[in-house]
Amino acid sequence: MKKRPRLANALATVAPKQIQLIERRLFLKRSLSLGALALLTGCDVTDTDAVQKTLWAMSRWNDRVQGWLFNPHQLAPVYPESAITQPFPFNAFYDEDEVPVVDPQSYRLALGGLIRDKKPWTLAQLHALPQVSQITRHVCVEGWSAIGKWTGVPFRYFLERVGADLSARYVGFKCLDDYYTSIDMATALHPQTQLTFQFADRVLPAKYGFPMKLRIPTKLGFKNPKHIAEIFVTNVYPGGYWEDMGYNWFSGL
Amino acid sequence: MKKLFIAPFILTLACALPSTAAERSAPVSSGDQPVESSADQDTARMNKTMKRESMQPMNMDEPMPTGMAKKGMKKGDVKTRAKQKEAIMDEMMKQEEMKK
Repeated sequence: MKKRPRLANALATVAPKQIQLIERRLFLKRSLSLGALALLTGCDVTDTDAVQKTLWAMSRWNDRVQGWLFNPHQLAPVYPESAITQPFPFNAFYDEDEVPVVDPQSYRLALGGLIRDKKPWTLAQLHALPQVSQITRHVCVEGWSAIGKWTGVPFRYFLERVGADLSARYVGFKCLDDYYTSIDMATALHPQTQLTFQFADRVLPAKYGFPMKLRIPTKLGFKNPKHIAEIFVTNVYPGGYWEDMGYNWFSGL
Repeated sequence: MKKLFIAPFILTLACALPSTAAERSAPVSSGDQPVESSADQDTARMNKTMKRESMQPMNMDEPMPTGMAKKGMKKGDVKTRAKQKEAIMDEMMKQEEMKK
């Protein structure tokens, strides 16, 4: 191919060594661009078993680090009543008109695993436990947050009352809408972790988790199970629905 | 090699620090206030609440409406996964309790 006269003239004024340098730079630049492009277009790479295994291992490692960093005495921020978000958003894997219907008379909270007294609890028995209120922020992994007032029994008190093995690693939850999740024992014993029966000083509405939810202001929203049917204590890693789908298990704030 | 090992740790630490700092700058009171518990009143209000709300059975084949769902996830997937998980966990927890 013939060089254009202007380009040939221009090149004639540049020393050969400089041209080599320019070409080397160009080559490096293009290699980097090509590499970046390969990364962008290579999304399927993440679907391979090896990559998935590595990502899972990283996520579990991340859980351990978050566990080490978690301060069981550090409280989440609390807010005045004026800061409460109205209306408080509804969020679930189903629509609002599909929220499970629970009969308060026949409802029983089941207990399992490393718990001494596994007798089921009626709602009346649960409501008779000492209760406290908190106004805290619910933070969703989707990117929104809302402040609400929650009332219920400190979860630590409940676990001690039923004789749960507090040295176990996990507390798991099975819910009436089939959702399941689990938390670390340190978070379960945190002073603000609460078995919640009321929202905004009224019985917990169905859309927010009737008859009870676990409110954890130190964790992301999907770690706050609603419509709890069973609580169990174990050393076997129970995971959770979203956690098994790749979301980080610890999900601390 | 050492840098490769340390990098993820530093990243995690960097992610955790801003929220920890935010918590520290927030008011340090728990804000917990005692609330009078009256189980009877609660049950009465609860029954009223439940009667007011009309619910539909869940359509298991519909896609999940939450932003957390990945493409193709259906509402019924949670039930399927819950059953699988229960079968695995029940067996392992039985063994765990027998050891104790």
